[in-house]
Amino acid sequence: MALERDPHGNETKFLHLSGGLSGARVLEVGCGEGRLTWRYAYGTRSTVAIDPDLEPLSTARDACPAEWRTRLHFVQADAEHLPLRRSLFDRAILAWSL
Amino acid sequence: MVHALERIRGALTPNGVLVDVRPVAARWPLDIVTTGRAQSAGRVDDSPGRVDDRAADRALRTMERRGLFRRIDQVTFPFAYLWDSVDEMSDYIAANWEGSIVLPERLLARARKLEREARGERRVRITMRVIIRTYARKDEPRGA
Repeated sequence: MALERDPHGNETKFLHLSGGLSGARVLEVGCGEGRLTWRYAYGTRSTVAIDPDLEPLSTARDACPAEWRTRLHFVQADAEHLPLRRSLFDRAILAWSL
Repeated sequence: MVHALERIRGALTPNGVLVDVRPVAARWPLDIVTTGRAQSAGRVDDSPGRVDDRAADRALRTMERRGLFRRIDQVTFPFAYLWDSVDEMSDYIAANWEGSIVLPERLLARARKLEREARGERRVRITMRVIIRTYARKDEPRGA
């Protein structure tokens, strides 16, 4: 058996309860390989997930299901230099990144 | 950190919500888990991570004090990591959490003893405490 994280899915459950992500335009900061992204992005209107490190981002891009690619984008960026328009997102998630 | 939060706030719509998800240091328990049973080996030393926790909390409080965000809610919940052995756990911590978690020798010795004594399938578990805080974006205070 490999490493297992959060086997009871608590994070997903509480993220959905607290975050109001369904149908929202979401910015995720510090997405890494997309561990958290996969837990919520299917229900959003669109998601932009950013991370400064290219290597984990490449892993996330490769793992992104084809049917999600029109509304889920992985972008190399850090929060201090966001290459995005202002007032674009309904939700911003700090994914274990603050 | 505050500058990053300012930029993120700018990316949110006027009714936007910031969702801060992160583990918080809380002397996470280390257990050896077998079918239907968990035996405590003790608690990890996560005190080095408290420095980061405090810095993050301070940055968010600064945003609240400046009238840029208002806290809506907060929940905490357990988040478990499970490995096949104490050695796997130690390797993972050394590779991924160096500087945040220390495994005292006594804790490791106790975990290894419980691992040896356990019958049947066994796993090694650290249960983190994760917090989700939500903040509503507020308008710039007048005169800011």
